[in-house]
Amino acid sequence: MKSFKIKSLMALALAGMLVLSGCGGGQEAAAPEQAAEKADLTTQTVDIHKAEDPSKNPQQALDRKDTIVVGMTEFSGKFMEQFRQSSYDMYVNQMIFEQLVEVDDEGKPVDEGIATWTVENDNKYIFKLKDGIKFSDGTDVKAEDVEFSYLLLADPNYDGDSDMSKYGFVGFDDYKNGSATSIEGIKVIDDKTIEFTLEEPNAEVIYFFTGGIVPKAYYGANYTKGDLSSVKALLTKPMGSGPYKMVEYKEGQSVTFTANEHYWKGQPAVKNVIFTVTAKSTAMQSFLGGQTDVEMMDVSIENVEQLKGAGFVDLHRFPTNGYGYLGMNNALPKFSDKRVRQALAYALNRKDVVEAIYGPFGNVLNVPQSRVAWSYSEEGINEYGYDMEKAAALLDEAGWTMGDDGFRYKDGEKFEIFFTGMADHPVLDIMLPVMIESYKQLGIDLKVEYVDFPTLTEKTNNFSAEMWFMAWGLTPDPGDSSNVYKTGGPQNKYNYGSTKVDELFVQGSKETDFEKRKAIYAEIYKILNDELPCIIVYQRSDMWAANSRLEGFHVTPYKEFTKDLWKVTIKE
Amino acid sequence: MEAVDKKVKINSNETIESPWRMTYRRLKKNKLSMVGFVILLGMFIFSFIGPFLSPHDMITTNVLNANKPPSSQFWLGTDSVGRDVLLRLMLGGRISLLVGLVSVAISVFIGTLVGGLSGFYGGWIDNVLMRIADIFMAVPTMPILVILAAVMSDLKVLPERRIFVVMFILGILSWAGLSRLVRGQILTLREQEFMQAAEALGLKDSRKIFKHLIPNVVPTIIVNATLGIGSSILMESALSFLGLGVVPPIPSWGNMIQSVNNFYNFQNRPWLWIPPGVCIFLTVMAINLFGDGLRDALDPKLKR
Amino acid sequence: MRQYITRRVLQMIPILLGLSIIIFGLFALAPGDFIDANLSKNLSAEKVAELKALYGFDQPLHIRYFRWAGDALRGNLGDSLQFSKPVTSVINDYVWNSFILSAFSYLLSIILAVPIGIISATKQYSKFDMGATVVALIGISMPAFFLGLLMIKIFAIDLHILPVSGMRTAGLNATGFAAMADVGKHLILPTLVLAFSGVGSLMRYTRTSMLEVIKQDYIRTARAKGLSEKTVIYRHALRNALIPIVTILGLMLPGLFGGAMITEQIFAFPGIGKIALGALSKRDYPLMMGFNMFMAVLVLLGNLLSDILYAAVDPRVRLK
Repeated sequence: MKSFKIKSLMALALAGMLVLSGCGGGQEAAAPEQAAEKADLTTQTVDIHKAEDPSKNPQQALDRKDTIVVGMTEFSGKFMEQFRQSSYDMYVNQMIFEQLVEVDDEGKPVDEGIATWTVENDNKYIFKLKDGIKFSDGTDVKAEDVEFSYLLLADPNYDGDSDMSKYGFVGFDDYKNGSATSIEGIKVIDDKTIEFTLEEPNAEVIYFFTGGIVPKAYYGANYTKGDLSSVKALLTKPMGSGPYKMVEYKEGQSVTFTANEHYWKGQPAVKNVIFTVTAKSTAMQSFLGGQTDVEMMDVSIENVEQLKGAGFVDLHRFPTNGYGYLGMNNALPKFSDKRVRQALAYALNRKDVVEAIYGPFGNVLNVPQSRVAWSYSEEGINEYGYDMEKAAALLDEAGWTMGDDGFRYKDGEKFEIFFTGMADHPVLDIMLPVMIESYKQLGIDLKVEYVDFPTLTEKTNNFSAEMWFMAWGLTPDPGDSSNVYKTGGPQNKYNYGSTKVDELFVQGSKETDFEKRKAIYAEIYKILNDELPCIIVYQRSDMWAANSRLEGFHVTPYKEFTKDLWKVTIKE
Repeated sequence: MEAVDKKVKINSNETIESPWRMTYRRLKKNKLSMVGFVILLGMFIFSFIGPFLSPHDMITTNVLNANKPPSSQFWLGTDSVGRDVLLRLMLGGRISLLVGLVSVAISVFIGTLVGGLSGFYGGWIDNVLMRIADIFMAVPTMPILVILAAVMSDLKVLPERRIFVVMFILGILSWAGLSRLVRGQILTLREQEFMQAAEALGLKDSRKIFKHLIPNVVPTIIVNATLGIGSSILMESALSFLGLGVVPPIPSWGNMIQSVNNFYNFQNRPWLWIPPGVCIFLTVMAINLFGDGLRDALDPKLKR
Repeated sequence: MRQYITRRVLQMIPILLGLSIIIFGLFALAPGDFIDANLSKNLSAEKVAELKALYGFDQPLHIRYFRWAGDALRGNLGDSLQFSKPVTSVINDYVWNSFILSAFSYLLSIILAVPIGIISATKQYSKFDMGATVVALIGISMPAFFLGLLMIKIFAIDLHILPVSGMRTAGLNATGFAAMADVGKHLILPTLVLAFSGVGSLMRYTRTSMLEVIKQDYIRTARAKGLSEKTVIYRHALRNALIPIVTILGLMLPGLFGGAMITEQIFAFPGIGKIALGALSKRDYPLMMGFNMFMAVLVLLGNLLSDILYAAVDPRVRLK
């Protein structure tokens, strides 16, 4: 009957929101946090609001004396960092696995992981495993486990997202495409020492060592090079050296953990943790009712009000590791002139739009980097404040003259923009009407079409989209932006190219001194801000709500809440 | 006896009415169906003429005045970018009413035709038509719509026009259920005496199907149509997700009601979603009442 | 009859074959593939090409189809790209949850819709009839998610007697009867929402069908014979009125297993509907193909069941 198909269409509408919430992930590990005191988003990292009336704590939550329940959106069951794709699986993996290198507050690498390291000649990394580190089955973590964890990524049939080839490990090609049985550049020296050698220095590789370490004996029991099936069979039965081990996985419902009694940093205070699936539209209600203790909430004035008003909620809010931007195909004649792109930026009142969407919890951003990253810089930046006159002047300069019908023309061609967007998008729902109006005033006819996310992706991939809106997720390594902004970069959908920027990115990837690296990226941001291959709109906030009976809950932009969850205690 | 399409005076006390006249008269007498008709008419006037009476327009935004409750300036309050909800409601009706009626009209037409032919002829015609119906029912609609969206995007079809293409396609994809219902009923009716009489009279097949069988199936068709219109209107908002619904700044009742997805809006901003909900309900109700009246009016067995 | 059934079942084979080609073609034409849909990673062009080769996306369409079809005939529907496990296993994980939900709500729908439809018909235009009509129309003109949120607000939040979402309470290590009771509690709201959405249409069809039957001559005869109104309605009219309803039941078969997509979304219910929807947005081809072929089989079987029931229940029908 007709009703079935109709229902499926309407459900798709709801589902779309899930996709939107999931994109923008892709972070690697994060770092410890700086001191947090009340301040605004621009200068400080985490804004914490402590619960004002813990007595309002719902009974259902209070009854849980030894369990923490965390709300999640969905799981894909790929519980191994090597194969993970969804960001929710990442949280599960962080409970179970550990890494060689951890990252601090600002995203810089520190040795809070399972190893310390030294670097020789800028291209050799020698890791020494710390003492007493055991997997949850009691066996010791050894260097061969580290080797195994990385060999998986180089397997000829490896189909995960990690791209090991770009770092230039010695002998990588021989292993991946040839018959070598191991990688020359990955050498196990003894049970606790392992050496990684690159062909050339590469400052970005340090972030590569934040991958999850898995036990060779468990995952590699039936593994032979080229056949990953036995490894993948264990994707839903993970085992690692992290603070918790997985007890049960109910598809589509929950993941249950219990404390790893062999955890080398100490016994986790709370014995049981459950990640449970909640519905996006009612996650707030589940939390307020006590069904969950921790949940990541959308940041909006209404949500913050509701949570603060509930009384028993600790709110942790910090800048999202990512930014939203308006992409443009620079190769199109109408967008190839820098002045036109700048005019489009001046004509959009980003401040009011961001305020309307996020209130005080979002900020206009002008460089492609997070405000709290170590490489962030505002040197020599043009803020492109809302200025219709300037925009009109720039367009006149670029040869677009105003016609009698209220639209601009150049060489007989009307200035029209075909905008490809997605429906039911919290940002576009507000930004598009404003853009349509502002650009009309400017003399530009903005036509909007809606498509779904994969179609949008394909359109940007084959350069058939003129203008669109998307968001990038950022990693602690600023060099990753080169994928977006270098000529021919895999994520460079703008058709933008600047030899100067390309040179600077190459320099940045080789420079191992942090201060010098920072200066290089500052220069890049200055150029990008002037040339505007895309118009960066905002950096918003992420917010975690935690039940006040949890003491010691800790989260920062570069450190997920899972990192310190084992230290959390439940107040009596 | 052959029906005559005009009033014929036999003697001064009696007139013979044509079936259509009779239907029309009965319809007028049925108070409830008239109520339905009036509401429907009202909706059309509201949507197509109303906007001209509004001091506001569709394009001007004022984000600082967003989400305000009803006031003397904005009778139904403002939406998330400060636009007048009442105006959007009126404009939205244009899309939603057309969308609902067009797609249902198409699916009813095709469904009745196929079901009628299938049920009447039986045999291999029935088999082939019903297997085609099976295929239409089994093919998943969503991928088709996604592809349609992409094709229209590649062809740079004007976004405002796309919704109509979509409604057309949806009507074509959803006739199968109705055709089965119609066919089922005809299988029963076919064997009844009045059909044997028609056979004895030597009437043409098309006449037998359309003048005798189908009118008896009309009640079911009407129920199906009324049910279909409501869901078509709602479906339009879901289509946006695939890239086929209305695009800003054009509103529709379906996409206005999507605001209820947000629990905060649901609890605290009733002016955003109650108006479109009421409009959809009234439209569906009106069509249903009118449809019921139509069914009763067409019913030869009622002595009124 | 047996000949008819055999013939129909045999016909299903070429139809399913044709459907598989159509559906496969549709998915292949849909823009964007699994790699594209999972953008947000910094994948280089070479890496993307490598992945696409590993997944077999670079193969020509007909080769990919034959590979899929060959495997499918042997019962192997491939591995889901999202979950990295066999499609049959993924479907199995979720479909039974959907089945329980759909079964209960269909039952509830029928128990409510049929009697109300009948009474509505016998008391046409009465207050009861108008009231039932209004309620039914509300059911079909309200988006399902609205109804869901309303129920959640009333029962889960304000009254706090039922859970907000999910199928089980997290952290409750119940077994046996206590576990069933927990699931039962979680099923109440989604079942009510689903039933309310469906009860309206079933009620209207029942009412219409009953109205038609009551007007028939043989009912007039029964009344003329002096039978009580009750006997007339419930012994004579009802059986005939139910005939079209019984055929609608056959059409509900796909719905039993197809999952109630919207309801499952709102209640975070681990059903196959939610998964199928996600599969489309993520372009998880094997899962989409597997699920849609499964549904296609159910649609064909449901239609066949409908036809058989119709012929079996109504003596006037002759299937040629």
